[in-house]
Amino acid sequence: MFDPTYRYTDFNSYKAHAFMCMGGLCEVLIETSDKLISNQIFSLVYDEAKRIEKKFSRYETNNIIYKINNAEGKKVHLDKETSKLIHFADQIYRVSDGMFDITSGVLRKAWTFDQSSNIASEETVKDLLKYIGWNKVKLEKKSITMPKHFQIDLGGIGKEYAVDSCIQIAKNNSAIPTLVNFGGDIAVTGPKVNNLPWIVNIEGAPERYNLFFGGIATSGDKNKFLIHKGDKLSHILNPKTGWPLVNAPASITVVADTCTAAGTLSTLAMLKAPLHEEFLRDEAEYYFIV
Amino acid sequence: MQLKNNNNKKAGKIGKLIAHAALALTCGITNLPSVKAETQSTKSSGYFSGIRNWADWSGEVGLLGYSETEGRVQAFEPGINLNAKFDGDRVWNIRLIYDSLTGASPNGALISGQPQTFTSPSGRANYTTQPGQIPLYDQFKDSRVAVSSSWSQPLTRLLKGSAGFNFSKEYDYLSLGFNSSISKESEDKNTSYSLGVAYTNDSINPVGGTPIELATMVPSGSAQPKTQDGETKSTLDVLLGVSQVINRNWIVQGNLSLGISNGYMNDPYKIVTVHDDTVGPTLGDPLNYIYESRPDSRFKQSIYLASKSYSKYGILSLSYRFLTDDWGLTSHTLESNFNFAISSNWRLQPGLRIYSQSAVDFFRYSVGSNETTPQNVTADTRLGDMMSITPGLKIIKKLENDREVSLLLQYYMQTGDKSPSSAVGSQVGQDLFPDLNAFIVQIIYSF
Repeated sequence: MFDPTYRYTDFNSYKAHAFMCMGGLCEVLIETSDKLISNQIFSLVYDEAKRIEKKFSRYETNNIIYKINNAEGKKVHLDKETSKLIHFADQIYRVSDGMFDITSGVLRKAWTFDQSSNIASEETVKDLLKYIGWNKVKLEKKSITMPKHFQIDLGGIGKEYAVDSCIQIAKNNSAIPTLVNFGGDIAVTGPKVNNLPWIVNIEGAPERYNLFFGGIATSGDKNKFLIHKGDKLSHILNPKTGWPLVNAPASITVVADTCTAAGTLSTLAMLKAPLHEEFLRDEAEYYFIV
Repeated sequence: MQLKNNNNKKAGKIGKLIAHAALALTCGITNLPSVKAETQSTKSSGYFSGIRNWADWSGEVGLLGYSETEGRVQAFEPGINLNAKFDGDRVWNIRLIYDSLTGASPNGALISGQPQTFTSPSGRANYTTQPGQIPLYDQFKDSRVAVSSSWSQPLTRLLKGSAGFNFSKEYDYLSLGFNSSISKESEDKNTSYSLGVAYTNDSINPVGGTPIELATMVPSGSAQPKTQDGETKSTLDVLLGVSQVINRNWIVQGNLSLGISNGYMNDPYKIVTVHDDTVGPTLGDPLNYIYESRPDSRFKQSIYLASKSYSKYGILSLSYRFLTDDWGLTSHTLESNFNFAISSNWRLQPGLRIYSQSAVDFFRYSVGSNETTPQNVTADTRLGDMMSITPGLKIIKKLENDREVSLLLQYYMQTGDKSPSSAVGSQVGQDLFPDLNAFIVQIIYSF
């Protein structure tokens, strides 16, 4: 199999593999001087990333997401992995009082965050809100039934989940220290050789972070916003109003046991803006706000 | 911009819930990851881990058993191979092997319908082979100790050098060698070139003395046609290699090697049958035996191509070697194996090796009594036309901390031309190139 986006760099004591996946640059660092072993671990990670991308991407037309989004009100059977992921989203919906809602993706049709002041029309937003609301979805252990025209988007947790899953695969197959970085969502198998930390540079942070275990994730994108009446509108949308968050921080980075937990906490913190810091202080062990 | 470390504080209710829920997500793939990470970091030994303390040791302990069918040669070979890896990719390797061979080894004479009597190598006893039996010297016994060691280290960022020596001693044989190699990697490390040189000096002191080439074997008790001088042989090998990473799943390698040997190259225990070539009822019967004679120099050239590719199904290794020398021998070796997982800890590696060889120019089943004896002649079937097939299966069990134990089972099947066109008289109908089959069992523990 040939991937034209693939790049390999050998730094002697560790190897860097990079490729494009899930809409961004994915990087895998493997701390071994053995080229072949590094290739073998990378191969497993790569296949896993591609598998998850294919399975949960909303751009594919023959995956489970497409099936759910085009069920026209019918019940859709869920495989174990998809069910787990959707149940996870369901839990987060409940702890966030409905602010984290995987049916809110349809709002993307109304908003383009191109640093302009082109805000969506109230009518469009109002129309779309009819198709949002996780509480209207019937989720069972092995199936999901959504009202007609409802769509789910696992983009908010899929990448972090892929990072964690790739790390598990790397761990299960070797004891070689490995770091997975999918567009800024990072996790490691554990510390580097000699118990040294992985040094992670967080954009905007004054110092580098020493990561021994777990994962890091960032919510927010300083380049995606709109200007409205002098306020900066974040690209993160409130599923209840259909409107972007106003004056939310540019980005929130959280460190947690897993990349998924870090990503979820940073997203929830964003949705709490302007009370994000209080939330982080209570719920996160390590965080950075830019 | 703010930077906060809630150092002494654990996550709150929502944070904990999310942490547990996220953990449960990947649970299907494994057990509790954070707990596992902790134990992993304390792991210190094993091939995969980095340098701990002053050196990181890894290696193999192995046991090889080789058994030819019909009670011929049996070999038993324990060995140990150790690597000490120091800071900066410097590696010291030492290898120790002990070999013990017993059984019956062909002396080179042809099978005959007559009983045949030979003189033992020491010249102090005779032994007889029954009609239709392969002439074997059944007191064959040898043991060998071999030690080799090497040091390799980076010279510059892309250049790597190594130097080593090897020593091996048998009862009648002493071998001493030195080798050195240098390899250079391309800037992107995807291509590597290497140049290696090895020099070996052997001294040979055959049991009972060195037979005079082409001299006729005489019965024990008489003066043997042997000298008590020791013999020597020197060999210089040069190897040029290149390996190339084609993509992340595929590595290919090519080597070109040249070898020049000078000195004593005979097998002092091998003889050649002289058959009666007078037309009549005794045509083809053995008359006597002469000691073999090989040229005193040999120039070998060989090309080796190998490929190793990795897919989700397993690792496929393929290799081919072509060898030719100025003795007229050419050989082809094709080897392949496929290594795949059957569970998380068990792997299987079925393999197949095919070897085919054309004889050296001076190979003869036997020489005629009336012909002018050629200057060089051997009846050693190892230099004759032959081919062999070796199917095998390796079973690999992964242990804790990247240790591994493997069991290799192979069956070697060699065949040659049983009824060559050169057969005359009573030779016709005899099996002049008996098959050779052998079991090979190898157990390796690597750590």
